[in-house]
Amino acid sequence: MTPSLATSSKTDEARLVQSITNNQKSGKVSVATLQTDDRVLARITDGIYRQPASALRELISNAYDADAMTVVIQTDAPRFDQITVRDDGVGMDIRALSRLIHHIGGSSKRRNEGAEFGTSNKKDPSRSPGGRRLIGKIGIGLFSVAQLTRHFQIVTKVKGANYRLVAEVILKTYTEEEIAKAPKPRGEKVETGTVRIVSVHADDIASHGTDIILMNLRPQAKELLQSKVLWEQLGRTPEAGDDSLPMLRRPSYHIGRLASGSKTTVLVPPRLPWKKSDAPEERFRLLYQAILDEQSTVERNPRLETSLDNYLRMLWTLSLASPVDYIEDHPFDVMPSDELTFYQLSVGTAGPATRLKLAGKDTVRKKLEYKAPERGSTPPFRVLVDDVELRRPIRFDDLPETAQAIKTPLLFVGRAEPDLSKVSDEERGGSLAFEAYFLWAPKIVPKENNGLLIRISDASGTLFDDTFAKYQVSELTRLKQITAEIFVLHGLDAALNIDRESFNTSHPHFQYIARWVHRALRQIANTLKQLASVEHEERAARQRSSANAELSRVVRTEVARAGNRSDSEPSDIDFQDGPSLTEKRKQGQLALSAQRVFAPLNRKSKQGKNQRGKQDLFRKQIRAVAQVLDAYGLLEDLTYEEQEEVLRAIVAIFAVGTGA
Amino acid sequence: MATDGHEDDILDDIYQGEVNPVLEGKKRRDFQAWHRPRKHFIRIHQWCAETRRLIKDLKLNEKGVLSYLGLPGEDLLDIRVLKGVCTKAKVALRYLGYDRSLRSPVVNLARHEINSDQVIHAASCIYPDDLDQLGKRDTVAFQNLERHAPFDVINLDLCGGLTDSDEPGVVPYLEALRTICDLQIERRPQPWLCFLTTRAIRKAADTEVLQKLFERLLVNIQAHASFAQRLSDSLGLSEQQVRQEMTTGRDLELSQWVDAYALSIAKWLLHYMANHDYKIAVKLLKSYRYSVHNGAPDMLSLAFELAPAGPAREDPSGLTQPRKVAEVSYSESDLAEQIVQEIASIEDLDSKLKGDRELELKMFTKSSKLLESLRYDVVAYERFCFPPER
Repeated sequence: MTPSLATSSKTDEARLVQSITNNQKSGKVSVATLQTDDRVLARITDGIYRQPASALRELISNAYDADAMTVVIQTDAPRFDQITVRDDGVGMDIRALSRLIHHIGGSSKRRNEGAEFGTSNKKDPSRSPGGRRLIGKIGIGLFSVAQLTRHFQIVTKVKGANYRLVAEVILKTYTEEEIAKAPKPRGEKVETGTVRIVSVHADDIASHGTDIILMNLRPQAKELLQSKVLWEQLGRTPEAGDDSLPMLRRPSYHIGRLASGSKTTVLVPPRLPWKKSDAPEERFRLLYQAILDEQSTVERNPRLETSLDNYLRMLWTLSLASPVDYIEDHPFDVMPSDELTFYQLSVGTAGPATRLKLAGKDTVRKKLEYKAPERGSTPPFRVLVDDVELRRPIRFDDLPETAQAIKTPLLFVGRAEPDLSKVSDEERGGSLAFEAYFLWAPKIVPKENNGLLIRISDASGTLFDDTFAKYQVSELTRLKQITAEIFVLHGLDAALNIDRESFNTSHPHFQYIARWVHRALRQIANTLKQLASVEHEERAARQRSSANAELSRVVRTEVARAGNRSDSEPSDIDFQDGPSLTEKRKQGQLALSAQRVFAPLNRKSKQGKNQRGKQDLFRKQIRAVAQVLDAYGLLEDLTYEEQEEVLRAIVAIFAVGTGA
Repeated sequence: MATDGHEDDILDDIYQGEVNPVLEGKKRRDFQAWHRPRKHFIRIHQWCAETRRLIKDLKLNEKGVLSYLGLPGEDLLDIRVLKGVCTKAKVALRYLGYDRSLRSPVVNLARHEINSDQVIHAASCIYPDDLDQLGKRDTVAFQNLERHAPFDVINLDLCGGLTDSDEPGVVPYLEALRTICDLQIERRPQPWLCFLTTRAIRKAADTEVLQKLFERLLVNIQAHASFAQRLSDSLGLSEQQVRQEMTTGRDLELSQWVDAYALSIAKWLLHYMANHDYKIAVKLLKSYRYSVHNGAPDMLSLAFELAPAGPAREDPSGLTQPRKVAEVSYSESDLAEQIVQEIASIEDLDSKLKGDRELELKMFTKSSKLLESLRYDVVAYERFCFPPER
């Protein structure tokens, strides 16, 4: 912004403040023009977001930054004509609202002047007045509503004020043509809409908060929220030979469908996973459980894409994006149980992660002093959408089991605060610190919970990245079994793109996190391999021990049958080589050359423990054959060499296909 | 470049259409009948007083929630006054409102003013539907009703008549009331209140509907001599007069017709509630009549208390505890006689205020103060209430 423009903007802002103040008594409307400093920001107010959820996510973030305790969103589903977002945050006074209007993209948040406007903490501009780490920084969040409508109202009040402000905003659709035609000098502000503001008297001095009312939603936004395309396709009967329709099924849970062209009549009643009597805080848990249950009723790997309609998926997306609590405990507050094993990552070292032993009421937070989520001392943040309280839909216990080697989930935790002091100021991009968890589970349900999600200030717009920041190693199965979240405590902010839905992957902070994650994944893979190997060996040993017992029982039975006596004992046959062979024979024991008998077996230079165990069992089986043959007297008249030949032939037969 | 064919429907799906600003800064002078002091009397002395008593009877404590269904209009006047009652009683107010008027800055501001108060439950909501939508089960309005029901207080504050009809024999508001009653019968084990404000204009009412309503009176008269006697003693109404009215549609004096209309509505409600396995006693509370246009009374503000009277519904599985319902002897005819008695004591509010200048000024002052806080021009309001020719 050039100094002259700054002056001009300041003058406009001061003029608006004066106008609203002057009109307080008469109740007259003050009118201002929404302006941005350049075309890029004009483009932003026109909507840069992809989904309706993005707009609501930004408004929730604004409420969080304003120290709200509760956000109530009413969507008027399944009609979606008007959406109201209400918060009990600090609200805006005349100056803060004027500032917002005249500085789109120039938020006072995270600046020293933020304290003056009530948007930042006096001591630390990166925090909210109440001490939360601020999510917003640029000042475009409010204009994300352009995704949904170009007509909205703001009703706001600050504590201690004897007035409320009502602002009505009408956004203008951005057009390059008009800007190009406008006879304005280069650098002049671009008009993006109009605002009409009225200040009205308020008796409730202590009240505070902001309502954003999105009026008369855009047709395409409504259609998206109503899952119109899906319902229309479900209603179409494919004609013969028409293979243009994708395989679609009615979502298991949905908000229902209006009759075509009607705003009042319901054609398909809603199907929701909760009952009317369920409390708002229970409903999200029930939604999550319903998705888990899809596994036993609908598909092996439940997906939100097919289980939920757009509206319920929006709720899910918002719950992941918002700085709200988990449906159960935060991963760093989960108590030890038989169902979850904890590991500590140390990506600087090779090999597996270290087992973290938590006892009693120990948690990762207590034992390792983890900090995330850092929300200051403000009370918990609640978001209610149509009477459903959003909860982060990830659980760390009671997860689905499979028949895999490791049956119970593993929770890996790690953190990093790299010393970037050696890097020059120009290149460093500030300091970086983060904490992370990787939940490995035999199966991740729903599928969309698989991947890496990076949170800054405990919020995220990126959802789960199932490439784990483009991890190139072929660990497909293991990667599909991981849900991971990074809680950034310092830095990375600058790498977040303006829509907060993607990262500038070349930023050094992102690069560091990506590499750290990749190393963590290798360490997790090593741990899993080690665990699988131990589990595999233990299982084989258990099986062998049980096979040995069974073999002894069979031999005893068969020998008894051969001798027609229940107390007949199997003969003591041994396979030996060298002097001990002769020694054993001298003692009257039936000793045969192991080399000769087992000659058909492949001899690998290096054998695993499991392979050795298998061969051991095989030898015992051949010994059992010899004992049974001997019990029937079939070896009796044969020379040692002939006995060895018979057994060698048997070994040769049974060695086929066993890998022995 | 021209487009081949007509593709306006594509544009309709994309463009939001013209958006005009609605925010106005002028002082409001659009006074309506419901801004008059007498309506404020109803709010305070009927709605608030009875609600206060119900909160006490139900023993709603500090953690309690008063569930309210209303038709709040853009200023949310009913909710504003009940908010005061709930604040004093330290119970939360959870409201569900239907208001078909287009959303305006006025209603948005009003909602902010109301909802900023901690006493308001977060699930409170207003939907842009008309009351008649509640009578149809396949509507968004009904779905939302079902989500919020049951209610402690139901307030159907109509501008028109409960039995108004655009189609012969079809009474949408009465259908809506029936739907609400069905949900209450199904879900509400404690007493509840129903306020009903309705126009009472003989000519406006549908003849077929009136015939059926008055038919209930005749049935009662024929079945119970004591009811006939009470009707005659208290309201001066005879079987013959009712019959004559049904035939000619103009036999009763206007004030008698208003009484008969009020009685027939109350009787309909009682008969509906008495004809379920789960009986509900209907009691008419202190009610009022007044005139919208300075003529004969043509508006009724009725207040009912509906109390489940058993038998207590059983849970056939025995899994849940038996519900406690006050088992009272239930007699529809006795209740009907009590209603007749209450109809006789319906007060003419216009006369009451005219006869008590102090009360009238008190109501004017209170109403004026409330409207001033809602940005109304109080000087114009005084002219509206007391025109110079008076």
